Amino acid sequence: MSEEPKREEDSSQISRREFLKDAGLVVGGATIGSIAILSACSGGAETTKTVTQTVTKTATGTAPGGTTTVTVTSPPVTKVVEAAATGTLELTVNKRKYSLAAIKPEYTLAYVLREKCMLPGTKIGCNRGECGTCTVIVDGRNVYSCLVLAVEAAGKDIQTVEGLATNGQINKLQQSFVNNRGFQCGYCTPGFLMSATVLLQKKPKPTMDEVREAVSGNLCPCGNMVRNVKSIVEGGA
Amino acid sequence: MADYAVLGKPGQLDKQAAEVVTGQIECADDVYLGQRLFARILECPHAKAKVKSIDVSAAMALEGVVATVDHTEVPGWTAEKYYAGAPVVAVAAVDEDTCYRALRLIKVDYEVLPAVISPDEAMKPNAPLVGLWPDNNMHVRTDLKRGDADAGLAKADVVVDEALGWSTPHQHSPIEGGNCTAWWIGGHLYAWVSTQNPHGEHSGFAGSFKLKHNMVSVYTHGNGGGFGGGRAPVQIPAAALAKKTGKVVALHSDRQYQFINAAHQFPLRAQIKIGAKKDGTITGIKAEYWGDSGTNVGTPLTDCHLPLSVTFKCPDASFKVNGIITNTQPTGYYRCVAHPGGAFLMNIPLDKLAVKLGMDPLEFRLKNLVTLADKDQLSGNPNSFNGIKETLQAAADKIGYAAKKHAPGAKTLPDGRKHGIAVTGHLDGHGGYSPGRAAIITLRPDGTCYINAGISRTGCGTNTAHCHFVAETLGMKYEDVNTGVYGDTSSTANGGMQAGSTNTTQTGAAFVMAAKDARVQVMETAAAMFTPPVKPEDLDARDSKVFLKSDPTKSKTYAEVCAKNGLIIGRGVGWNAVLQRPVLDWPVGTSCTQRPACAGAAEVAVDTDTGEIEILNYANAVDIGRIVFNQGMYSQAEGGIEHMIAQGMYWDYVIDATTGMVLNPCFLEHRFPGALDLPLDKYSVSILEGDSAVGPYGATGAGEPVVANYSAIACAVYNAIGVWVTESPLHPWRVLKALGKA
Amino acid sequence: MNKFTHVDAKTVAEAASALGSGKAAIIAGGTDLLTTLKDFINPTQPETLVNIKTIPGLEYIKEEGGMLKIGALTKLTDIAESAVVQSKYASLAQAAHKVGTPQLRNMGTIAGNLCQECRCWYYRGMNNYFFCFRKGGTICLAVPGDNTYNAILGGQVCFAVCPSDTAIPLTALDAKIVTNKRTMPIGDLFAVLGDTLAKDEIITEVQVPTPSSGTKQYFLKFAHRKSWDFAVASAAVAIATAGTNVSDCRIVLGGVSPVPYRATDAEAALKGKAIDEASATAAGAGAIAKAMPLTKNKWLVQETKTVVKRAILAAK
Repeated sequence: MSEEPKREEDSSQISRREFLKDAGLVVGGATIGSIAILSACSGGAETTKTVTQTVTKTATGTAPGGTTTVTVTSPPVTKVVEAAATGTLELTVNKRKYSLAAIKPEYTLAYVLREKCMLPGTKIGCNRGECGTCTVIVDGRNVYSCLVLAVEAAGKDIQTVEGLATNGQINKLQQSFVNNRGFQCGYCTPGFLMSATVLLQKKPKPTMDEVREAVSGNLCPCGNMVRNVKSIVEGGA
Repeated sequence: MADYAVLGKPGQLDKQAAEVVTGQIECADDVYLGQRLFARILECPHAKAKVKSIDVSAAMALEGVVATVDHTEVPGWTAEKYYAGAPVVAVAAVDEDTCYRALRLIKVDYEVLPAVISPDEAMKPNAPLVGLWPDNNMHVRTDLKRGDADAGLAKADVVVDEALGWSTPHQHSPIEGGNCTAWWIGGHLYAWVSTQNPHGEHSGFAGSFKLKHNMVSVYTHGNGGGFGGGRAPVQIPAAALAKKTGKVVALHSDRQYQFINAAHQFPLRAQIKIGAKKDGTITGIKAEYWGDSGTNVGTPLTDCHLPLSVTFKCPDASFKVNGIITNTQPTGYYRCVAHPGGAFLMNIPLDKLAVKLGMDPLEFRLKNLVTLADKDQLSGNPNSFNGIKETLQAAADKIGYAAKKHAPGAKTLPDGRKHGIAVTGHLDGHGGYSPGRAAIITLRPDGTCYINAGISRTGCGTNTAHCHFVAETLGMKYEDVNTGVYGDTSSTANGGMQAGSTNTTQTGAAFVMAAKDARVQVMETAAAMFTPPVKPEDLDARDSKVFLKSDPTKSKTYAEVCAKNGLIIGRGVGWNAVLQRPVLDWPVGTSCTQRPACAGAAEVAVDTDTGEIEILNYANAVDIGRIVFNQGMYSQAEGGIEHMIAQGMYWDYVIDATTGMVLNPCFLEHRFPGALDLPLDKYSVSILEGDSAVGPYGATGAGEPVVANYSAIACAVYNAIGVWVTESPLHPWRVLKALGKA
Repeated sequence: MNKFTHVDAKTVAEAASALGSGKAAIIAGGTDLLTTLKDFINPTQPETLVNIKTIPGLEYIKEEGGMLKIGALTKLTDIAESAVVQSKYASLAQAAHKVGTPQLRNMGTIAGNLCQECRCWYYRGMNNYFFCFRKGGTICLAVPGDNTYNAILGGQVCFAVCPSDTAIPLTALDAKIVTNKRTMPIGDLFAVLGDTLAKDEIITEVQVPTPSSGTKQYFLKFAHRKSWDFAVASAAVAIATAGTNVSDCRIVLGGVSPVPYRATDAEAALKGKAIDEASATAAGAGAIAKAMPLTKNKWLVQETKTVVKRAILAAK
């Protein structure tokens, strides 16, 4: 049902993150149990659905005379659960389809991109739409992914920083950020790149003032704004 | 100055540039995705309280909640909470929303205690005790006397005596808040931490959890900014939750927690008396400062007098600094200690005195500067180098001060706004030295080198600068040296804390020594490869080639040498603050004091109907020693202008006078300036290169001198409107108030 | 955020029905709603979010029957960039452009901009600590507290200010708000404690009468930051002239009052006069005639006086 999300990258460039993650699986055994999925409710047409659920709990304990296993089955519970959100969610990110399970309605797109699609290039700076660090492109417009509900992004064309390079080759805008050192710490950089990408699609040769306007929703607390802006001015066609 | 093959060359790129622009640089919150528990912290709602009991039963009953920890389980936390927002309980759950819902279900029974919020109230004799010192809320942190200040002032023809401040209240929030992802395997603690001090975190974990140091591993790569103690501490509760749950736990300080619990810059006020002769010679200074430490009793405000006490010659002076504690959020470092705030307070009376003397404020400053021949007025040591006069002059020239200067209030622009211009500057106290930093480098069989850097990547580019040092010392091409492992405490030597403008230099010195160590091995190997064999001392290296000094056409490439000897590693430790070359009549080895000079010049237009300030031009001049990583240096200096504008006109930390709550704990209300607020095409930077006598290759640190002169804005505003705004930041309402319009 | 059920509405009626049953809230752009949910500041936490973006036909800008009609879901970016809005309803285009940031304008809708929650530091205070009048408490905590950015005009029980930029020119342009229940003058939408919409009432359209040719208009916003900030003080003016003199005008203030504040004293000062430095100054003085600053916001009187004067002089 759910496709294992993998980052498309050159196999020779397996990052330390991937490596550590695998190491953790083996050594730490620290896989977190996934949230209970009400898979019966994956229909999309109805807004709510009534299901009957039976919960079975098994407990093992040591009693006088030996180990006993007790199984308790609850009486059937009927409740109304919400449909589209607790089922699977189909997201299209960087032209790739992700079928994700256990997406709660309150999950933001930023959270899902990072935690479910495994695309941590989108950073979370304030989680309140004030810093621009989580900026992604949805249907051609730059938005704060921390203020988009993931369930509302289904079926849309989502682009993140991971989608800018092609076959491991960074694009002209990214190269301009490299050449101009359009970053200090680099945490805000993905957001700047996404806002810039939208601008350059409309205006391939922007002026400095047009760039300032276009990135006015992205903060760079390190204070590298002059180089960020220059990188964008020189990063177009 | 010597010409180097690698150091300071323009066009050399940051070693992590490709990771940054692809979003691949790993931060502490980017690891173990999909496999980890999330954690968040419940904050105390009272300015002072004692936790009597905590009931987490409702929170634990919530689906998805895994564990909670409180002061009984988190090392360093106590039942006493001394400020609103202090951490009380940390909860781990399957997702972040569940954490927040769980926090709302925790019931804490507090004994609410009398608190004191305002520093002016706290210093009164009968004020409630904050609770961190047994019998008062104010301690003298510095009490310096040289000569006789009163006698010096008595000799003066003109004296100013000014009450100033509060200045610089801000939480210089880095874009990444405090993050820690922690897990335990077989009693060994592993943690990714957003930090400027990975080896310090390593020791911190070991101490907190009573572990041997070899049972801790700390990782840090990308680190979303820093600027001093600006990051909320989350690592200990994260590790406590990881231990309790047996899972990977990611504790992310949200932006509110970050603004409240990360150190904010302590506000300062002062009473400063300065006297001068009619010719402008300063005869006496008496300065007393008060700093609101919040709940950090040891906050680094002791040096706030330094710009005034070391920059201007004055044998008869006294400086006293009082640290006041209050039941407010902890204060701490901002790049690094108290110079920006201290300089703001100093420059107002200096300008007032100049006006009274009928002198140009810049001329008055230039007349009283210490010179290289003077020993440092604080330490008695030689200054390692001192270009304060040149630095002030460079800032003034860049901004066109001589042609544009005028009497206060004298110039109105065609659009009706008032024009102002000012130059301020001082000797800074950063870039000092201490031993205790080490470095390792490794040469590979293909003739390349990687450095094992025991520091994180915070943005200033110091690990790229270290590659420069290694390449220069080994005679390698810049592209042949790269950062290998960095910020991983298990496989790097202690690179120290990225603070105090010391990382390029102190840690850099360790890398120079490591490269020298490796170079000896390279030369020994190479010497045997020539036919006939030569002596190592006959050889030199440049552009990744080892060649005969007598005949540079005869050479071996690094690839050839390393293919022969694939086992070359270098190790080095840094050095003390002593002269590396003679200065005047002081020999090598003399203890010395690093005093980078810095100056800022601002040209402003002030709208007297709205109080709005526009920066027309801003020049930043720093006396930086030797440039190492060129792009990094310039981006620090340009970024310094943005930080000065932020300090002078935007950042503000507002605490409710009744409850002690922070009223604006977010980027928006804290007024972080964005691209439309910053005059990006009006910056100019002057880097005065000159070899420091103590740093590696004459380098010194830049991170702090570049942000220290926001006082230039205040002085320029005075020059524009003829009245002083003596508190900062200079928000429109403060300007209107000074003008009598609010 | 609390748990909620997320419902995609297909029609206005379906959305209204979902809003009417239980604790529910509309989600459109979500830029304001989600911040309030993340901080748990809503007095009533919704258990259902009704997504109205899935209702077709609510996103448009058109001129029809002597008026501009803007669908409730129209994004602020589209309003700011619309040629017809820029040419005939310039003050609205100016205000839409001044909202937030490019990202927020790409997400936020016109109706959402009108209905957003206030930004008062006490209302939005940390961990929902401050139990202020707006939340059911007994007093407005800004009055004894830090009121640097609170209301100087029209504050009564609550001194939070109306944060909407677009509401200011829409009031000056005499707009009407169409909901699934009624069509009302925009002034009727606002009250000191928030909007006046019924629980199951949904804005569907904003209507702006086409100003008569020769009407001068302008929106001017003072804020701490240009990049992204709410107004410290703003003014929208719509001025009709007969010959050289002002025959009629509407002057509306933002950022200094709990509702878009119609500055009738300023209008009176301007009517019958030629627009010049003296009449604009007099109108600025009129705008603050009834100002009652609190302990720390006397500066807003100066800002308001100035923003009105300058908006009048800039109108074209």
